[in-house]
Amino acid sequence: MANILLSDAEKTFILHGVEEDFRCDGRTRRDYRPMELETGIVSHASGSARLRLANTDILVGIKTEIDVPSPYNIDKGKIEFFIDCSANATPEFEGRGGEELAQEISDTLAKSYQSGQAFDLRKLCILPGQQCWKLYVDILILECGGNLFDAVSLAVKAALFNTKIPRVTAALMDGGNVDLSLSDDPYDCNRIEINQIPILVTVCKIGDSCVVDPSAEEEQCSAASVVVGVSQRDNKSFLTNIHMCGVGSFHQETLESSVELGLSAAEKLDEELLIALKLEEERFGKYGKKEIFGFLR
Amino acid sequence: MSRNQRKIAGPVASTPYILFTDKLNKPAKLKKRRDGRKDDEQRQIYVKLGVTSQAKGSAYLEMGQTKVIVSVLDPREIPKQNRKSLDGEIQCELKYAPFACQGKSSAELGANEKSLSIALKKSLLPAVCRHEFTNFQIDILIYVLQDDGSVLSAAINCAGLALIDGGIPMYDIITSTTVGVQGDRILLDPTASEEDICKGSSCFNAEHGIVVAARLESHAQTTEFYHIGYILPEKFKKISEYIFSKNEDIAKIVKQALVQKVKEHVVKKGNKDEASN
Repeated sequence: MANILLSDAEKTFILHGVEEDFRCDGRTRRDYRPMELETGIVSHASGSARLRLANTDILVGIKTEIDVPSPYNIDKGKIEFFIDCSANATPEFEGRGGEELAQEISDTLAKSYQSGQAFDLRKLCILPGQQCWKLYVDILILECGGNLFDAVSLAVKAALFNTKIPRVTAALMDGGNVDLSLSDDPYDCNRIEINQIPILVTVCKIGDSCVVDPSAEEEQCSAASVVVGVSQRDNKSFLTNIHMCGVGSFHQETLESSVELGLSAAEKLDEELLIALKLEEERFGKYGKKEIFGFLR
Repeated sequence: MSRNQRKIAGPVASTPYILFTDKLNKPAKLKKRRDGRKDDEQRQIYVKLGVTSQAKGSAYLEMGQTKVIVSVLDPREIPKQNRKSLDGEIQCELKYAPFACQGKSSAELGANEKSLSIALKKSLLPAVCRHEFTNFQIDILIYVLQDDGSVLSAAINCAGLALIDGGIPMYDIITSTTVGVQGDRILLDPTASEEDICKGSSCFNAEHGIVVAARLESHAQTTEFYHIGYILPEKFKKISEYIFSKNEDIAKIVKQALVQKVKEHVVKKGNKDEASN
């Protein structure tokens, strides 16, 4: 993704490290890098989160707007993903450079949220056929240090947890038009159920073995990787999407074992994310003021 | 997709008439397949090679009502590049005919075209001997004449044939299969309406999904595995085995078409030699 120039010797070094189950930064093949997560840092958005996974920095803002449901799905709300690859992340993203990558990530996200069981759009409906909520999920890639899919999906899930949708107190049908009145109290709002929301895990094939959470350098050494979307429901894990990246191909057995690895990583990751989000909320109260750390501090 | 600018789109707040027909009131669950196929029955496939005269290689493929035509252009130097690439590039452009499918907005189709083009490129890249085209790119143009489900598979199968027809060096024959999952059933080669049900944005309690896999036949390599839906990991294993066994059947058809093509060529050449003697 981010184009880092590596010499053959460096690549071999990384490859041997992965084979020995001891990667450049001391991790094993199944380890993640440390993460920092903060929610509610953009005051103009209904929900926001910033996630930093080693050098990868993602900012997600969610806006809510009222829209008319599509005539084909009159009882469902809408969600839209937009990814902006800032040129600050890597010079490659300058101009239209990041467009294809952005498209790929937002496609993958949209597809993993598509199932009614992964993300229930019916909850976003206000009046069937008349009014619904539309969520605009804007994702900003501020720094690119590898493993974008995982970082983006975690940040989006955290931002959705943080999202507050104003409560509709009354809806009047006036002729053909709908008159909505929203609650005046900014703290009187609905939350989004996030337990089933899928997260993505990239499993990267380097040499003959597969690793999770590849750094930018490791991504450069790999010809193929597979992104697995995993959603938890009734204490079971479901696959919401599988998607292959890169120019290489997988053997059937490798593919199956990579999906398995992705699955177990996702389960653990999901669990930890929920714990972290609940902890943050407990510490600062549901709507309590807290000190925002944000960036550069 | 190119749009006819002069076409009258109708009032902004119009409702599609199709909502008032019973076409939309289809069940969220599938009982019998509408075309009377068994669950593991592939639709009939028709292939023809060398259909366009301007392209280096071309192929036409029908899978039931899904019809695609693919042309492969001569390799050309990569335009506007800032560094030399050791491997050749592949450029895929998939387009839908304006009449290819029903009930999809142009924006939806446009996004679909883009993501299908990317998926197609990814699945073809590992099949082509790219080191033989240093600094060159091969353009592959795909035109979907009619979309009745399993478009990506049809496009991959057809593009593989067109590449071979164009004499582009490849490692292996590339074939692809689509299956739909609906509850406990696995439907091979779903049609558009079956795909809609299997995608299951209205399915809240059962497993569902679409799986597309592309595979290099004799190397047993998967070049693309694409799944959306909601399935258990055990189901995934089952499907991946199933889909690969079904891929072999497609490979047989592809091989047959290629042998046919060579036979015709030999006969033609024989006739020519006879005439010149």
